[in-house]
Amino acid sequence: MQPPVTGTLEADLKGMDALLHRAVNPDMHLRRFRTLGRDAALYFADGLVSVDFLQHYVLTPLTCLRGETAGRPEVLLQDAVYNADVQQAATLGEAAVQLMNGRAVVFVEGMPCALGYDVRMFVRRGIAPPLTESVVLGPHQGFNESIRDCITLIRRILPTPDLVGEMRTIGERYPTSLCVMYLHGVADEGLVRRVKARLDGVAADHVMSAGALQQLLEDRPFSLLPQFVLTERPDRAASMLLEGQIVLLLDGSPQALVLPAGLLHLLHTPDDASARWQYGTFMRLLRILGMLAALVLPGLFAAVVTFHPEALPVTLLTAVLESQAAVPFSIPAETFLMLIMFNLIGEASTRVPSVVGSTLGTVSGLILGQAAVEAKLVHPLLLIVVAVSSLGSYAVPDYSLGLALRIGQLLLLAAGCVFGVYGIVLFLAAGTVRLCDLTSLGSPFLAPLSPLRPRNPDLITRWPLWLQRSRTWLAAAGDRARAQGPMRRWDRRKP
Amino acid sequence: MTRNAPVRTPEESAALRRRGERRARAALIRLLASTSILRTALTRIVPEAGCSAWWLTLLCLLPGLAVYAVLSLLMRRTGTDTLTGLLRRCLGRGGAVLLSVLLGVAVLLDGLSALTALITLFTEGIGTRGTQWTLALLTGGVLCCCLHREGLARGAYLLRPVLLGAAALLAACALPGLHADGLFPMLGEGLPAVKSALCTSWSLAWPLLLLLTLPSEKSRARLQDACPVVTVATAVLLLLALTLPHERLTEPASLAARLLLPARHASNALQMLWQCLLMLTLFLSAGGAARLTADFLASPLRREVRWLPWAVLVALTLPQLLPSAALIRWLDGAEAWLLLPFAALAALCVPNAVRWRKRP
Repeated sequence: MQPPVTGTLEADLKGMDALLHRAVNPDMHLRRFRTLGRDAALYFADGLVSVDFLQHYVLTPLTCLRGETAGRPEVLLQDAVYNADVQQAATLGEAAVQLMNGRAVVFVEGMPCALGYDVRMFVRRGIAPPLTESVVLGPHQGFNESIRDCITLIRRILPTPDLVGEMRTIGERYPTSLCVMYLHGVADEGLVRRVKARLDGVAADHVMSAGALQQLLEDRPFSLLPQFVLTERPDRAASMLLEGQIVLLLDGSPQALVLPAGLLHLLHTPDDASARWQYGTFMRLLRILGMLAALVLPGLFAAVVTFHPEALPVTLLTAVLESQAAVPFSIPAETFLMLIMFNLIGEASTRVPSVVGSTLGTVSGLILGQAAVEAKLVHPLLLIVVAVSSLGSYAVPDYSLGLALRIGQLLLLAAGCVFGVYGIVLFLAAGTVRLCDLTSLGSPFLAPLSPLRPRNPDLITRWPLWLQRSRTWLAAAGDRARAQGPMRRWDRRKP
Repeated sequence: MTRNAPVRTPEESAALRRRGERRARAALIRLLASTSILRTALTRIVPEAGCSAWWLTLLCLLPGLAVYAVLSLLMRRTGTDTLTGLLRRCLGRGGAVLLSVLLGVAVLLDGLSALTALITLFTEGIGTRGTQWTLALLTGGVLCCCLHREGLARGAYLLRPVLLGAAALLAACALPGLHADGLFPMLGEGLPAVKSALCTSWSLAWPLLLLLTLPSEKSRARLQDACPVVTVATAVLLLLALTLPHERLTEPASLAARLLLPARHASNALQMLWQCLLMLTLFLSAGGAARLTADFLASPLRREVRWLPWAVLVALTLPQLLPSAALIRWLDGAEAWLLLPFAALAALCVPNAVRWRKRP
């Protein structure tokens, strides 16, 4: 239990000093002054507040209150300072939390609470294009690490009072601010309740990022696939809010967590909605094809060449066997090595400074690949297969899904190398069944493909906008309509 | 899709959700039934009857379809939605429990047959490395990952277009090579062979009764529920009769070779496709049987018994320790009588259902 603010200044200051470890924490500043004819003290954390603002709008008016005045000091001090947000703290712990959130906390002799004045000014990154979700068409704004900025970005897209942003904290010992955003009336109340219940049930001492929060909230944490969407795009978060999904924003994390989500949500990009519907559909189908190629192609190649060469056309088989004769490794070993190498390049290019990124691309893609073929360490055909499958995994817009695909690719390769195509079929069957059993916040992960769910024409393919008159099954049942009547009202032609 | 697609009401949405779950369950049962019927037809009817297997299979389906139709009529008469409801209304709670146990045992036997066929396909048909027991352990292990809740049913629903597409591709490739002489002689190996096939396979359609355990999507749609299964089985056997000569169909062969017959005429790649298709359906069928058995056996208890699916899986895997030939012989013998208890139950229900009057 936290000690209360007693109103005896020296005792309160002693308690605060101990709580803030001021003896070894030089950035916790204490400024003593007099106000209302009494002794007072003000705490602030260096770097979290605007010193100018503090001096002009808090300290100056407080020190100007010289004479003793009748009445409760906390009321008088609140009225005397022109500050939009003043909060009272009844305990020293609450005062310390306010201090760490960028408030200036004032203690006055005889005042049985502390007052926290909002003088926040954090160092933060500006609004920049998202790093992992680039688009050709559509806005180029990404979230940053400030939860306030993230909320503002979404509110600018959806300027409606129905957009609720419930603020709370997560992390029992070292709490972080969290915002639960949803569209009132559109989001299913049961889902909102379920999210809040799960958030209440998180007992971690601190939650570092949205990715960590995802792991604490997912239905099946041991599953290879992500069950929520992590996005750094406000427009994507807003479009999912419009579908009845819930967005979680965590202070210090430049990604929003959208839940619940299905596999198809992980394959969507904002480009799909901005582009004409034919292009959007084409791109989505291409992505699905890429996903399948990434998953199956290397394993299938190794299995067919090793176990079922009779299934290949004679010319192709001859070419494979001729080049295989000059290569010292078996096909499975070669495929495994190549996949590891490509994953290594992918990982290195993520970590490498951007100035040497192009050099890395040239070295890895061109020199290494060509050199490996010329040194007769790999088949040229295998190189193509591995390159196509790697491209497929990069075509998947969700980073986590791409990683899951790359792990699945290796598992399928192992199954194909041991049991041939039958191993792959068995693995895929088991994988599909597991996937069908997966849920995201209780909603089936593969819906509306399996099981059937009410849907709009913007999940698998991307049909024209004016046909998308209904939200998905995730939205509240009472507010599924996106428009009353036809969306193209001006169009008088008969359907 | 119309320009002004209707926006659904909450009730419609809830109904659509229920329909989604029901369809997934129905897809699993249809897959199990199709696999069971095709497997039995290929391994028991085709060796006896050769080219006449397609119509003989239809004939063997008739007793099961008759029981199916009788039970459907009784359900309509008594206003019950499921087979369990009918048995409860006509024979009391004991009847419903008996039905659950019977269905559980029957589906378990079917799953055992599917798993044995799958492992025989591995060891004899494809020549995968490993003994019968190690492959049974491997398959059982993979099935272990699939037994959770609704995954199998939803997986069957999801894979349905893939399976049908692959089958359609095989059929399309077989079309240029079709010859009508395959249908003759109409009596195959002669009347004794036809009689023998009828005696061993008259229970062929019993898995269709599983469809009656689901609430009907529409009234009077029971027959439509069974149609896809019957159509698929007949189409495959008809294609088989039209693509392979009678002698090839009746020559002695192992169980695995019989299962691979439908793609014997095709190219290597298509043969591989059929093998994959067969393996996928047998795998899902064995898994589905394990899941359904557990559900049927647990239904009288009216609560979920978490260990039951795993116990059923063990019951499916352990018999693979027996020599496969003896196991197949024993299963053939048992499966030949699977329809009988259900026919008896239907007969017991008839008087009660006839006497039953709806209370005002």
